[in-house]
Amino acid sequence: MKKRGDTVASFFGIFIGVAVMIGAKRLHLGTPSEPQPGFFPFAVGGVLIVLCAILLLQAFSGRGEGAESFGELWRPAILAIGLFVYSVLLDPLGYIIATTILSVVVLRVLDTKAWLKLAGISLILSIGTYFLFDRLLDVSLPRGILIGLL
Amino acid sequence: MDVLGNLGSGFAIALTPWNLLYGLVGVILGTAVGVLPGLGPPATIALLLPVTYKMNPVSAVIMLGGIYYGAMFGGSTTSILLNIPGEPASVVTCLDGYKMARQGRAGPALGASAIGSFFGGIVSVILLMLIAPSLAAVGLKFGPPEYTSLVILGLMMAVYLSEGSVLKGLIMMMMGILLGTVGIDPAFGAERFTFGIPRLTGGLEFVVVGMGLFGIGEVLINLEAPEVREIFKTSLKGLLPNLEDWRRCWASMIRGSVLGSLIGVLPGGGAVISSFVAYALEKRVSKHPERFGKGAIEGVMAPETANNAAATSSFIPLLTLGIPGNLSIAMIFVALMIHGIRPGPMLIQEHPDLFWGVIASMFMGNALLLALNLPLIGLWVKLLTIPYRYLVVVIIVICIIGAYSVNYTAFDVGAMVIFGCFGYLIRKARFPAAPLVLAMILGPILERSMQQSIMMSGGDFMIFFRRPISSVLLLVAGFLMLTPVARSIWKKRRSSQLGVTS
Repeated sequence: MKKRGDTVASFFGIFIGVAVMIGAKRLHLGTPSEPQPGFFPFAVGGVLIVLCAILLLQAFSGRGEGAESFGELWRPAILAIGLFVYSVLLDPLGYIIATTILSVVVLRVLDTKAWLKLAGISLILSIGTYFLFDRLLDVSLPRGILIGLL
Repeated sequence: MDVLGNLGSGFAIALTPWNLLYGLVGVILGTAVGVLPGLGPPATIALLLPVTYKMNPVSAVIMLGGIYYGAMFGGSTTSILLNIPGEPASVVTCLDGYKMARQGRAGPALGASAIGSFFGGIVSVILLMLIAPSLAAVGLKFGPPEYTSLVILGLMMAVYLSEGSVLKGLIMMMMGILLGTVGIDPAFGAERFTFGIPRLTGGLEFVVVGMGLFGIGEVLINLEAPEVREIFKTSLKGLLPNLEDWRRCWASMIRGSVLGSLIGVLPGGGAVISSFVAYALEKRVSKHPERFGKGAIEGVMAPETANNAAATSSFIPLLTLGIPGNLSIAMIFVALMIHGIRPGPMLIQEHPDLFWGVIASMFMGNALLLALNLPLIGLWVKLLTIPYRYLVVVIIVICIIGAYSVNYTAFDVGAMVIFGCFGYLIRKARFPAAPLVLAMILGPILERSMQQSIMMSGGDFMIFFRRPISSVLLLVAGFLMLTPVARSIWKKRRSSQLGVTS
């Protein structure tokens, strides 16, 4: 099943296309000569469905290129989940604490063994970038629970 | 003489201490991100966008532009010494550059790419200077139908020139256009696809999507198998190519700069494609094509010259027609919009200081880069000794700050992560990401100009074919789409005639 990637992708595309067309219909389509807000996305969604249908046909008839195989998935998975959690915790915890934790997790996943080194680098990175961007370059970053300190 | 006078005033702007400083910062940062694999120019430009909010627009473009072409200088270093491209436009440089390093000729390879980049850059700035004002004059005659067709052509080019199948590119393009419709509709003020999320009424941030797809997506791919890299230990003596080298590659340098300048102007073109085409061309015209891949200096010179030439000339469509041709230029497009400047045919007339200041800064930037990359090459090589895992953390942090600072909201960081995962998956499924991002930025322009055209003609769709420029542009676009189809049909017919199954 080398073409599974293409099959999955085309079903996803068709799903998006149908969803967009339904959503666009609610926005009122108008006529081609007097288009309403929904007209343009409706048309693009339609083209998307047609293109994905062609890809699906190609996948079934055995043509197409298929997908690359996945390598070790656990590392990217941890990073993706870690980043999601980060985006939720960024405001409550503040930039410095959230970034330090994220950096420790990433470095740990990437085989840094010594905890002291790990924590040290992470702290330097988060505090250093905080002061560089927040103080020097005027790009204010969330302070979170450290608001009294910073 | 007008050109010289304008250029003089441009230098007067570019030579002010602050602009000099911003230019220097830009080219140094550019070289650094070029040298470091995994962090490309678009992500770096995105990161510095918020920093430029308080600058004047000329300084902003001087610095951001410096990052883009500076990366073209730096990228070759990693390719030659590590056999890993420092940025995508230096992928082909690995082929012969690394072989040269193994043969103990890293010095001439690095020297040839620095000199070539400089030469290509200068040729391209001169072209930009001479051609842009007249192209803008043509652009002034463009009405909505012409713009519609031009955007369609640009999108088709982006699809055609991106790697992988045209069909997949088209699918990505449609996805991008749809992403571009999120937010308030420009003509009627209706909310589209915001799902009631207030953050989405202003539309999806282009910077956030781009950093997710290209920054985070790339990191996720690289994390699958953390690579062990080794710098090729070699003495960096004799950076200048010898006479024999020059005899071989002076023509490659000229071909590379002409080719690169031309490809950079094409919508959808840019540094990456130009380097591939230049390498292929050199191999074809060479009397000894068998030397390629075995350490031919032409194979380093041509792509490195071409990628810098293309990086510079890809400013032409941005500054004359307001159509960004690639991701880095699209980021600069966003920077201009933030400063309240609409890139388009009026730009050179309305903001001559911007146009000529940036041109002058490019002359100086290229000279600075030559100085930075020839005598100081050892410093950049030191950068490469940073282990990849530290680099990953820095890339992630840079993407986070870049996404956060667009609107100062954690929501954008989350959105970036989602697009990062999406970028990872589409790369796995071999879909090109570039058409999606370009379509996202060009989609709203397309919709608006299409609507205006229809209004102009009173509902007649033939207006796109009735106007000469517009119909030519559409014909070229249609032709581009048909060539792959025609080729596959022709191939099939021939293979069935020969009784060969593929």
